[in-house]
Amino acid sequence: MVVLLNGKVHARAGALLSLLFMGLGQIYNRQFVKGLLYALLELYVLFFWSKPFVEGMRGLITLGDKVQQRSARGTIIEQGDHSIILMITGIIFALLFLLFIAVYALNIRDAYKVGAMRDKGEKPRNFAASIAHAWEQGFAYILLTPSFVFALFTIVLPLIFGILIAFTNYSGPNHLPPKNLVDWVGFETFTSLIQFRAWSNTFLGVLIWTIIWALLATFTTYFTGLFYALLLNHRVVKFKKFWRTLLILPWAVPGVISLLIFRNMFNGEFGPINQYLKMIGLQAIPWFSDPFWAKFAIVVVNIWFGFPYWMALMSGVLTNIDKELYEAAEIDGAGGFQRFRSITLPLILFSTAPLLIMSFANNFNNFNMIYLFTSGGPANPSYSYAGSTDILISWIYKLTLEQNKFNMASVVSIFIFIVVAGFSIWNFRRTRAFKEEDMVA
Amino acid sequence: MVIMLVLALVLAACGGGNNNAGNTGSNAGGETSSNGQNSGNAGGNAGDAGAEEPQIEEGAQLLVWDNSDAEFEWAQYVAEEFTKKYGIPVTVENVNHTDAPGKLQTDGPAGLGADVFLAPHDHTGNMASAGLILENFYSDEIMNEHIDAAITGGSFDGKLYGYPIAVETYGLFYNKDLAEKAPETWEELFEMAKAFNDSANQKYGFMYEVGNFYYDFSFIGGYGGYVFGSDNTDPNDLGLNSEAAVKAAQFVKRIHDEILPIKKEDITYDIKDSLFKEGKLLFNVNGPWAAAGYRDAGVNFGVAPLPKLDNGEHPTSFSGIKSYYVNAYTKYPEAASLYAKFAASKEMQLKRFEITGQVPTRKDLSDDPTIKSDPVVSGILEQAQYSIPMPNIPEMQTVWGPMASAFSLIWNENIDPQQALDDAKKQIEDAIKLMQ
Repeated sequence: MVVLLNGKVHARAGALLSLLFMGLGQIYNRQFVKGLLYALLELYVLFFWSKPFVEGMRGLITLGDKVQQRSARGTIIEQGDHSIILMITGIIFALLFLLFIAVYALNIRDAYKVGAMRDKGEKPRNFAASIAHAWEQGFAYILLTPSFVFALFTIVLPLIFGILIAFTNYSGPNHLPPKNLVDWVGFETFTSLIQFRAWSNTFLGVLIWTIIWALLATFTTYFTGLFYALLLNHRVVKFKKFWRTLLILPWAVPGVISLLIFRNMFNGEFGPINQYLKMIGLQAIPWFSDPFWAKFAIVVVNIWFGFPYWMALMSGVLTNIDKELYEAAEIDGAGGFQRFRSITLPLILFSTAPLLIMSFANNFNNFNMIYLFTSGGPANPSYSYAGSTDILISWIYKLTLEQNKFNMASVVSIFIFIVVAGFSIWNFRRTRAFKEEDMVA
Repeated sequence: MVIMLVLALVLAACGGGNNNAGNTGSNAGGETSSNGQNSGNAGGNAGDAGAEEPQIEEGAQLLVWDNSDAEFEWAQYVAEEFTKKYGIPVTVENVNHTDAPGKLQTDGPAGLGADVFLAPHDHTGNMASAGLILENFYSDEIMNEHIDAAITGGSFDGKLYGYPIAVETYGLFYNKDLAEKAPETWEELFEMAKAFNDSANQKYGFMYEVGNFYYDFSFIGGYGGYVFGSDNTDPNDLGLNSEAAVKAAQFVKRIHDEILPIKKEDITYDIKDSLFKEGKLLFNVNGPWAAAGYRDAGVNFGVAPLPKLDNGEHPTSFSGIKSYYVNAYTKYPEAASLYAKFAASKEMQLKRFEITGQVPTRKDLSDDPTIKSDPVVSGILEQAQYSIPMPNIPEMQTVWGPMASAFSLIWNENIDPQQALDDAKKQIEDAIKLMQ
């Protein structure tokens, strides 16, 4: 204790004692009730939870040893270990343990701070005053704690579970609990997927199309929405409410049904669209059997689905733009297009840029659109289990989930996550730099 | 510090919950093992008694999953009759037979699954490997009473699991107003179709779903090919790029070139259906599930077996056997197995035919006059003689995708059939390797 310098005797002593055992530091600082409560908490945890915790961790590490026993006729004799439940239980225990460590750290910090107060000569608060102080200073934290814990178990837990699955061999038909055990296999699934002969060819091609598709889908719906929002906002247009209702309808109709109807409409031989084209005298277009036209059709149909959202959003933004800006510009002699380019567009981009990123991520994984409209077709001879319009997520569905290969599906979703998260983070940073500029609003 | 209190409270609440969950888990384990002992004893007793007097569990209550509409009606009828005969209450719920295996994967171990459920036979391998179904307790009886295809379909790894209920395959639906009789050979069909074809008026002589391997296989089998070796049980022996398969592919290409020159993506089930109902399609490859719709639309149609190929053989259509399976997690295995056997009995299968029109699987019903006089069923039954049940091993799931792609390419493009089939075979082999 002679080593303690700067008169921080109490602070450090308190912190050290609290490190040793929760509550000791508080007792040292003469905050008996608080100290007792902390100590009781630690005792409770140690007493009731040590053994279950060790069991939980053992379950997480081994994923079960006892195989389910069946009689000769298949009835269950012994339940055995359920690997996946063990994994989830293990993760829950790990999260609880982290929470406990957090509380422990708070306890140390508290002892340190109160000790520092004593070093300065102030008297530490009694229990009632402590509560009152905490209530005032930390009200926000108190409110947030339950939601934080809730979010921890409903958001973080499933995410961790999904990621951990990628490192196991959880798949049909030989590794489905509870009849069979699941084991940790490390990066084996990753390597086997990469070594999967046609993997590199299919993966690269599908990835490129997915990115192009996400970009096209986002931008076409964005600018179509902007176009209609501008139209609706123009003073010349009458019956605004009617047009607005009409244009919102695509958003309101269930997507699945519309997609199936569009599928029939675009039928190359019998669909109405081609029949109209033939009537006009043009040639019928092979919508689904030609890769280019299939992609074209997807983008066009997606505009129908996607633009109402942007239109509604931008109508709101447009009405918020100060009319005086436009008047000033007109006085200065700016033409219509110039006004749009210099006032409207920058302001709209400024407000909606983060949403563009979200929309990109959404379209990247737009399973419905591809699976229901073209089923990923037309067939592509150089791809494995994928067609020319398959995006990553629909390809993975065909490759893995239809065959119960959960671990592989998890591996690819990690890949997808890395791509989408990487792009989003990069874009977000750029936008923030953009935001820090001075915007005259 | 108050945060600490709040956290502690929250944790105690969650913690209490977890503790209980942990206890319940081990308790459930304990209970099931004692149940297991009981059913083990029951099984032992049944074995002793020579399966004459199965020890039905006391207080047994059964839950059954079956399809909706007519099939649900039949399922409820069976449930009532069973309760009348054995005094065991039975509830029937609607879970479609294609959804049941997937639903059972999660519900079964959780104890929420039905005791007996209807499922298509091609999931037998998956379900058996995942330990979701019990063996057929009355396999000797069942094997003697039902047609071979039904038994093969419901068996996996040498053991019988299913209690066959109905069999279906596809045949040649033809418009009786437009064609006096069904063609016996493909050459006849080609002639009749060419005469009928009129693409300007959207009339076609023949259509079938090229992009669905379920139908394409009939040609491969007809030329002597197969999917998996050893009667569709050996996943390491793939016969999909054999000479027979290439011949089949060339034949399919011939269909495209001579009588159906439209892209595969444009031949959808809906289009085929509506054209047939409008009388614009002469020959339609479809299954008995479509009969009711055509009847309602007033089409004068007949069903014939698929015409003979140029080698004198019939195309070997894939057949699907709907069977009842017993959930391995059932609390009443004896009662459930008895119910499944009851549902597969002669009276019940005849009743199913009367209510749903589906073809029974029992040998003693194949000569029944009511069944033979039904034109749809007799046509399907005849085709069923040449049909092969879909392979039910788990590896079959990897086959559908690549084969559909291969046939699409063969149909749409001028691709070399051997090349396309070799590619497909490679894709399937790789996917099977990933399954190990």
